[in-house]
Amino acid sequence: MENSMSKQCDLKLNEPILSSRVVPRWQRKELEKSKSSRPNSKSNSNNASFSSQSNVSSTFGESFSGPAESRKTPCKLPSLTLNMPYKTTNLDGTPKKKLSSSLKNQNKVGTPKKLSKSREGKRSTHTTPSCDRFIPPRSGNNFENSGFELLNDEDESKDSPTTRRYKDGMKQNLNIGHQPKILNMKNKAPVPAMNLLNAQSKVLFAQSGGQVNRKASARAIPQTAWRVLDAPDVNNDYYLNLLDWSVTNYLCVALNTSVFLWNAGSGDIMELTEHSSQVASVRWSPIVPEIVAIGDYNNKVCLWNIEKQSLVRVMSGHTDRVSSLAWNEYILSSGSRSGQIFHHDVRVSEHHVATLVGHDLEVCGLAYSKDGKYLASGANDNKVMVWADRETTPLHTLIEHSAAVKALAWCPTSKNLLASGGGTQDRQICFWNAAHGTLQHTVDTGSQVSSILWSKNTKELVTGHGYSQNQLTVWKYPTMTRLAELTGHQDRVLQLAMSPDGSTVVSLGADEALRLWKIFDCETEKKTKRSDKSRSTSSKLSMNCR
Amino acid sequence: MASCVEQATETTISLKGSTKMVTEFFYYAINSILYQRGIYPSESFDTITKYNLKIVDTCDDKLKAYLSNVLDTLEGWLKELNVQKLVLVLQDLESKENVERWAFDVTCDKSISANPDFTKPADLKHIQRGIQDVIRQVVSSITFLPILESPCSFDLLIYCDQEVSTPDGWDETTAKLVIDSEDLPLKSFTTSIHSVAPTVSYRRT
Repeated sequence: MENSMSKQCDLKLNEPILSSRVVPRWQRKELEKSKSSRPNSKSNSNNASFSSQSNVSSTFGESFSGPAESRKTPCKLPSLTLNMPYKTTNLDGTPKKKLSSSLKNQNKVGTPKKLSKSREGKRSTHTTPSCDRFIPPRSGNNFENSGFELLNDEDESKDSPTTRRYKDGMKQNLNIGHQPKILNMKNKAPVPAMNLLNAQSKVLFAQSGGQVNRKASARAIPQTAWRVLDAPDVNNDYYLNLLDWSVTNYLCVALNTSVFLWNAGSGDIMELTEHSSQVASVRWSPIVPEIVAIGDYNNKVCLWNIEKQSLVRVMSGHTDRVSSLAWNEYILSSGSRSGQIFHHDVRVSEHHVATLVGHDLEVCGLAYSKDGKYLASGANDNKVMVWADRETTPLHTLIEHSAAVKALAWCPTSKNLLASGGGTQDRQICFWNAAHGTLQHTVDTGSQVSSILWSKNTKELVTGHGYSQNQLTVWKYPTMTRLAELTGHQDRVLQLAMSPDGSTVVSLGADEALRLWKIFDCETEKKTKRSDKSRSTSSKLSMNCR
Repeated sequence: MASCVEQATETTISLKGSTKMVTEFFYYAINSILYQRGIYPSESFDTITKYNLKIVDTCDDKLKAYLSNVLDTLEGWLKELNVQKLVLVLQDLESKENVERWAFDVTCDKSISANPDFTKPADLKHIQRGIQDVIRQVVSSITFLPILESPCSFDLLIYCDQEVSTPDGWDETTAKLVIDSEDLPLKSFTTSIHSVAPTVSYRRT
């Protein structure tokens, strides 16, 4: 039935279709031909169609004289022809080869297995469009595996750290996979104290306490002495320490054999004692404010109570004059011209508790650090020695000065910072880290340094000098720029002392005068405390935040 | 003169050297964390100069002993290329909760032999700079980490390969993770034999 239908169609429609749709038909014919000769590539079909267009004349004749089966038209059987390419691909997995072979078959008018001869004929004209399609070979593909790979993308590096850690945790809980062994020590690290709350870490940001300094440097320092006192018969000897100011605001000065007290609050002057020999050094006790220690030329150290105006104790032992004294609570240290330093415990009858041997010549400077941990001693042998608490051998011997070292001062704010000043030959101030014994820097002052005092509130220091200016110099630390030069003394400055509130500095000059200078800001007690507080926190912070 | 300079800059690193460098880094990193997080009082730390940085070093003998004990063992494993991770966990003393976790992922170059004298080309300056950067970042992390409201203790965990036998005085333990945490990877460095990549995880607030 189908066969007869198709034959009828052929007979009837052959000629008119040819005339009306000439171009597509011969094009297709040509295409088919070229395919039958070179059937196995996709690009061939295109090439063939182009070439066929170029040689129209030659193909024209051929198309007309072509074999009967090629003349059959596809128009009337669109459904069949359309199905064809899909069918072939569906039926057999490798369409390319089959297609080419089927094309060959068509030319030879051979029939493929499942198709009748007549259909095959019609099909042959219409398989042409299917040759435009590229259907890739899939025999080599393992779709199941690739599908699995695609769905199970196990690239762990793309996971967020949280996911990764979660996965790790899960894996570990389930005890799967190649897991690391997690080990820790049975005996743990020392447990910190429960009451330790990291208070300093609560403050994250803070301005450094540099403002105080900036303000201070801008202030005006009076260039003249605020007050001048007479100091007749003062012993003009560089190696002596004849001046001290107590915490109860008494100024003690030794003039030759006499010791005078000046009440800085009321202005009263009182002669404490006419000593049996010349006085070489005076020093107030820091914890019992009415006690003053006096070292003399008779190799003795005397303790005087100024309230009762009585001699409390005489401590002997030195073999030469006692030219320097320093207190550390109940321990009084005395340096002698013999080069020895004695520790006296003033509470017990056997007062002499230790002898520090190290200096070869007169010990003229002695100073305890603020916490009492270190004792610094300077001597005529140009050495500075740092002694650890109660040790009889020096912790450090600092050799830098080229003259006697009398001026020694510990910085009240920076622990372990020691300033030392040298005599006429040396003229420099050295800054030391006493804990390590390292020299931090030196400054040449141009003249003999007889005394150094640190300001209590600001990072400044004041030094007393000898020839040629006989001046007091105010320095800013650590830049060591000169803030002021205070002149007035006619002879060298022997010693400096600071008032308990830190505002006034008194200088004892060899010109038999005491001059009082208002150098530092007179801050109230409250203000001082506050600035101290802020400084301590800021220093902690600077450690903390770096 | 030029040749002197060239000789001074070494171009190879041995497994032994790398191990030592990494162990030392861990020591100072742990010290810095303990100091910055206020686990121990700040008075118990000394400031020293290391890696051209001001760095803290504990002066608490007990802590020192503990650290050297742990790090000595770690050094052995690093030499055998068996370490995967060093973790510092901060634990709340009262609630026993893990509040912070510093994990140092260690990647060992397993392609080399575990011979301590094995050498590999490396730029020491570059390594030094890497360590410097990591320490700096650890120190600066104090600015964004949440404040520890209550006193904490710390513990060190070492992740190693399964084949490592547990030495005396050591125990296998859990990972001690921080629950509901925020993670932040920090800069890493490599000695070309060991590479160290720190991550800090802290409680989300």
